[in-house]
Amino acid sequence: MARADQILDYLRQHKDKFPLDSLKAQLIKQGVPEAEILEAIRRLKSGAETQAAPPPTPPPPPPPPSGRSYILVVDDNKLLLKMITDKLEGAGYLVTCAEDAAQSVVQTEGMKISLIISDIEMPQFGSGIDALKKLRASAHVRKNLPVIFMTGLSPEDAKKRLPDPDPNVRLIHKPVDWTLLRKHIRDLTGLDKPIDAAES
Amino acid sequence: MDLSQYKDLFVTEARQYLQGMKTALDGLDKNPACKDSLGALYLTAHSMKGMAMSMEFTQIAQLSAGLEHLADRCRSADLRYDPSAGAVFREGAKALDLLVDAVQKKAPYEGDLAPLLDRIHALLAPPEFKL
Repeated sequence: MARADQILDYLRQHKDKFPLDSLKAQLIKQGVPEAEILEAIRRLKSGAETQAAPPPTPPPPPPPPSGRSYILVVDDNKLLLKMITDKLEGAGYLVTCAEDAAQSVVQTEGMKISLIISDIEMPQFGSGIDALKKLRASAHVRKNLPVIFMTGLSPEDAKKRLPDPDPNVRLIHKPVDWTLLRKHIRDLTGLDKPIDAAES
Repeated sequence: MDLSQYKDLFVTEARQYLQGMKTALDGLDKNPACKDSLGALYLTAHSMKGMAMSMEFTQIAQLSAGLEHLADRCRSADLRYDPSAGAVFREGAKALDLLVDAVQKKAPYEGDLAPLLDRIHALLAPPEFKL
């Protein structure tokens, strides 16, 4: 097998357990020229892209809901919950919060919820995926209620934990990029407030 | 966003996570294969990293990320939790304590994290590439 293929094999074999930067550093340490590594990484990425399933076609954004509609923010970390809530409220959104999946169901009873923004990793009291399932299964929210998941996981790990492709689900990484969050809120709900400019 | 308004909440939350990390390490001293303790170790490091990144506390985020990766490898049985890994976690928890102290006192952290980060990265290093 040619060395270029061996390098590609090595990357494929270990990419799920080690960041590419770390694998690249290991190869450089062992005297493999950087150009060969970069070429292997390019081949790895182009292969992955051609194998990836096409993303689901997003539906057109729904019209802004009438009446008092809330964004539900779910995070088991009090600091991050407060930061996001302050930012959204500062921009003019109505926000309600929960620290876990069960609380999110109780918290939203009797409220009109237009969107969930939830952490993925909340293993102590049920993950963000659990929160979404519980809420969508409850009678008082729409079955296709949109959700934006937030995560501090690597993009690869985060995608593994997401439910099946869903046009009403988005993923953002922490720390939160407010401009991207604003775009996702607009795409999913039709609501648009300047959270990327607002000071809380 | 004015992050200084969240400093006290950060310190309070960080102290709780660090206590959780120490409890997990105590559990692992008794049973190095305890999945609950390994899971708790991962979770506390992950949560510390998330908070620190959002607060732009780079050193805390960097160290927590290293411990998170290490704990993730241990909990997936990809790396054995042994006394040398335990010592790195203990040292990491102690350094995080001091870093949180520095945040609380609005003082710079006086320690040098590089040797500890090197030890973490050595444990996390990928296997050799064999031609």
